[in-house]
Amino acid sequence: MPVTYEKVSDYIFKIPKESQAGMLVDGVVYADDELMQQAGTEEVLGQVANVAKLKGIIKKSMAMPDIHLGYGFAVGGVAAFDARDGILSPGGVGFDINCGVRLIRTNLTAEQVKPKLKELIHELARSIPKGVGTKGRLSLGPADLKEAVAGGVSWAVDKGYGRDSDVEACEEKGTMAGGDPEHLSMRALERGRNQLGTLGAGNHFLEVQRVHQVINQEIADVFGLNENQVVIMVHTGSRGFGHQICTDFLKSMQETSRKYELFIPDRQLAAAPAASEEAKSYYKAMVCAMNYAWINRHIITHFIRQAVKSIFKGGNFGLELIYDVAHNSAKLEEHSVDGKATKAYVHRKGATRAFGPEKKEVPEKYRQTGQPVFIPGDMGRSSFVLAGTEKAMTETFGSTCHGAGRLLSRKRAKKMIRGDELKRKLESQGIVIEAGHIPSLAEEAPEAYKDVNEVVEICHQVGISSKVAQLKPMGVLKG
Amino acid sequence: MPPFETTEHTADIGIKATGKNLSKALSDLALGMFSIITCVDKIEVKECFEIEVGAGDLETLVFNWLDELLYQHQTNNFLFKDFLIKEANEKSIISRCCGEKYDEQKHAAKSEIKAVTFYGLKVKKDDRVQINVTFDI
Repeated sequence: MPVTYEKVSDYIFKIPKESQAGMLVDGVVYADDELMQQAGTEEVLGQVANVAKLKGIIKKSMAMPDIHLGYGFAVGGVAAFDARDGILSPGGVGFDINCGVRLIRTNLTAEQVKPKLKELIHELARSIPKGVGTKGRLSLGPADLKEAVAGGVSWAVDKGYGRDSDVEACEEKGTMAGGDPEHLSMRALERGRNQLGTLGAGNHFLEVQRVHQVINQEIADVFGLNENQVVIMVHTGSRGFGHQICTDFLKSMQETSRKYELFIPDRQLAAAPAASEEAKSYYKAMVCAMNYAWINRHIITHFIRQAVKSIFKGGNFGLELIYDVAHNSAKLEEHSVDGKATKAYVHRKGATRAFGPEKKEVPEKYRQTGQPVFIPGDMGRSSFVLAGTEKAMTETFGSTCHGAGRLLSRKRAKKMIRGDELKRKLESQGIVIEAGHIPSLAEEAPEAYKDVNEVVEICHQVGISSKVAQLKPMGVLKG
Repeated sequence: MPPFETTEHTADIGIKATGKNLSKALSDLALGMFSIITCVDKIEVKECFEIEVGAGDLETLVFNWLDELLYQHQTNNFLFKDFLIKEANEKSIISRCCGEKYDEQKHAAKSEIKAVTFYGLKVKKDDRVQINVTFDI
């Protein structure tokens, strides 16, 4: 079905609800003219329009500038549904529940790290399980795994991983409320047993980066960032555990949608009424997966600290967690809608929460500035640190983009460049890379992604997050 | 003619398999799925699993069968290469699927499949059977 849209301003495009039968609200795309022209946009906009047809959607179906084709929901989509008469949809979270990013700062400079960078990346590759078919260094039976996902990051700290201070520095303090492991299938427990502390594959990575430019000095000071400082970024999610939970409920909600006579324009948008037992069951399981992902990134952080200490012997390297953000989630939040406090399930699929100043959900040290947000770019270019804003709260239910957003399919990316050529190209730029499968590296080539500078600039111009610092890769570890 | 083709999806990958009947299309489809994970030429047939699924419609049936294979692959660290479809109709698939355990010295680890999706999942039946599936990578 062709999708019509109109340009509202430089960076806001509207898909009017009258343009397609069944739309309850407008679609709103935060993009520029160039991004709107790019190949595949029609089908993506169709996905934004489909979400606008789901029951109880509040205000608008949103698309961030990094929007690309997803399953049901586009990746880069945000939609809030009334907690009483809206819906909850696993497709609006994604298979990789709480895929997210954390940033760890060090008190090392790029000059101090460069001479030992190759050794460091190699040590990280040795100590962090990654890639296809890999088992983690922990193995948990069903009872222990249930305890872990109920306890979240605090459970991991009690077991001797990481620091107490890591808890406060994590979104939801690494333990989101509302989980219940009794709603987990045996399959999910089986898939999750050996994967805590593993990086995964695909677009998941660990990067040693340097702060290339501080853009907002005041906020950077609060986040503890300064130019030329080395930081470490980790991007991974809930592994097979989360994937299985999404699959379990995607399957069962096919029937649930029929039971409650919900209009579902796409099978991947299968849903349950927010107040139903089925929705509550999904939420309880989903929260367990959120916690699993936070534990996963927390344990990887523990391994990172060990690796840095073993290469740079002696001394205190800082290695403090700045923050950790989820970019695939559904959260029960309260927002002001037309002046009224409204509870809603905010679905962010490939979108990051970007809460502004004075929000109690944000760690106290960030309440003046707004929460940190981390936007990974692609391997060869930049990543960004942003801050959440007050404008985000009213414009996008406190949300912003999550990454560069893919432009090319994996098939097409591999036609453009070979994995070994890409590795040589990045190495010629001084970037050290270790990857599990070199031919597949081509799928993650910079050319396969939109320009993260452009994506982040649009979010900054719209006012839904503000630029704080630009980071550049020094070393990359991929599965 | 190759048993399957890969299809495009921005972030992920699809497989299209065409066979003279449903059984052949399913068998080629599953091989296509494992070709995403590893080089299937290197998989030997050493062990078999009986895999049976049911569903209310054909698309869900295909989804369930591939999902079951993926689950067995993930939890048993097993690579499948040979798919004997004993029975396949609109409501059920009964199969014996064979291969061997993943060995990092022998098998390339190409991509990790997170999940089977319903995106574009289609079974077309005329003089041949064609199945399209997209996988989340």
